[in-house]
Amino acid sequence: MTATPRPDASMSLITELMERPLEPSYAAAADRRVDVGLPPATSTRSVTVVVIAVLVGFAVAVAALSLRSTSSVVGRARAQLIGQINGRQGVGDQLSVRIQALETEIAAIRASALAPSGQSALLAELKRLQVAAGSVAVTGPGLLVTLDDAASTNGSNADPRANSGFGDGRVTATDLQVVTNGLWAAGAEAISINGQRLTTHSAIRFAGQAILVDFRALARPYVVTAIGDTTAMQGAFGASTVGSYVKALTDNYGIPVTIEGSGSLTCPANSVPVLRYAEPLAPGSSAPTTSVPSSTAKPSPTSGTKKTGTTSKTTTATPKTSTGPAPAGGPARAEAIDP
Amino acid sequence: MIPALGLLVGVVIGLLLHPTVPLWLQPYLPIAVIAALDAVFGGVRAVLDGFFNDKVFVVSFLSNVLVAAFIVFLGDQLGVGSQLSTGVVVVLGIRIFSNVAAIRRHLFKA
Repeated sequence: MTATPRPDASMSLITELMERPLEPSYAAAADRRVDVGLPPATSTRSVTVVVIAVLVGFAVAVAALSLRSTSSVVGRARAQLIGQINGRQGVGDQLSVRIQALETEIAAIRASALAPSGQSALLAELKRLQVAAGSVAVTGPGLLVTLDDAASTNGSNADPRANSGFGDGRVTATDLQVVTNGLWAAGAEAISINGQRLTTHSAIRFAGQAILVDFRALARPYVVTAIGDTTAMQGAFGASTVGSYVKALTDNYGIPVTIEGSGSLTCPANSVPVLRYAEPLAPGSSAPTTSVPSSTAKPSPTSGTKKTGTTSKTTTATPKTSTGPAPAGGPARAEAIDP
Repeated sequence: MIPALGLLVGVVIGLLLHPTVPLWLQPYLPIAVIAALDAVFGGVRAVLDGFFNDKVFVVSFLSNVLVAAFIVFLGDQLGVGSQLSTGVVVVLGIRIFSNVAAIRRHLFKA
């Protein structure tokens, strides 16, 4: 008998799988039992069968439970981490409130010590320097510059800005650096971005997709508050190269930038930076020493980054000394808010 | 009937005891359960076909579970654990479906 080979003979594995899903040993065992004169099937009530049935049910239940519980374990760990983060942030907030309170106390004690001894000139100088250093909250007239990501941030990839991993219309840290430096140059006396007061130690930089100011991530829209002579700043800002830069941002990338003057703006205080200065090497001592006038001997993270300064993106928004706080020839607009 | 009751008893025991599965056993558990289900459906079909054999059932159950676990273990050692697990699930799934189809034909004549 020469049977023509099946067309799917080469797929014997799949044929076997599809057509004979039952263990062939069942049929073989039945044949053997029929051969010795027994009925082909055995009872299903043997102990082993029941035991295995119990086992299978147990395994199914355990598998279902354990698979469900793993997801809840992950969720629990996540919730725990979120709770820890919130807790630590709460502790940090409490500590900064305490810092504020202590600084207020220090200021009051200092004022009471200086005022009676006829050193009000020193006190005024201190106030001016505090405004410049950003260690007190200030209020006054100024400019509000608001930058936001463009409405359509998924533009074409032909743009060079898109190649750096950012959408066409994303506000970059460089944009904020340019704007703040332009505002300093235009005569701003105090600047804060989204409530983060800029000091001489502030850095505006990228971390991934977020813009960091003083290691705090900002969320869009980016509101730059600059306190100073509103009309003079507006004119100087618009006429400078920064003005055309901002215009180019809007024209080329669709980034909405609004500049508006306001009669009363407030810049919050920033924590007092740790002052550090070099001391001449004393004759006889071998190691160079850095003196820290405050009791905190540990270098602050801000200055640590400034020292290493590896990436080109780490640019400090430093007020230019020539046009810095309290511009020459004009009365200071920023008024310190007495704590 | 009695094996079905046994299945139910096993589920209840599992739900009541709620044992924690050791970590090393966790990757094997789902595969072993599917292999066990394949053996169970094969056994049910054999009962309906009229040639069930308890010895064959036990042997096929044990060998299914062991081979499935071994394949997953081997896959983990070779770095293709998830792919081999998928293969095992596909093969056993096909078998389960055709066995269930045969059972359905027996029960409902359709």
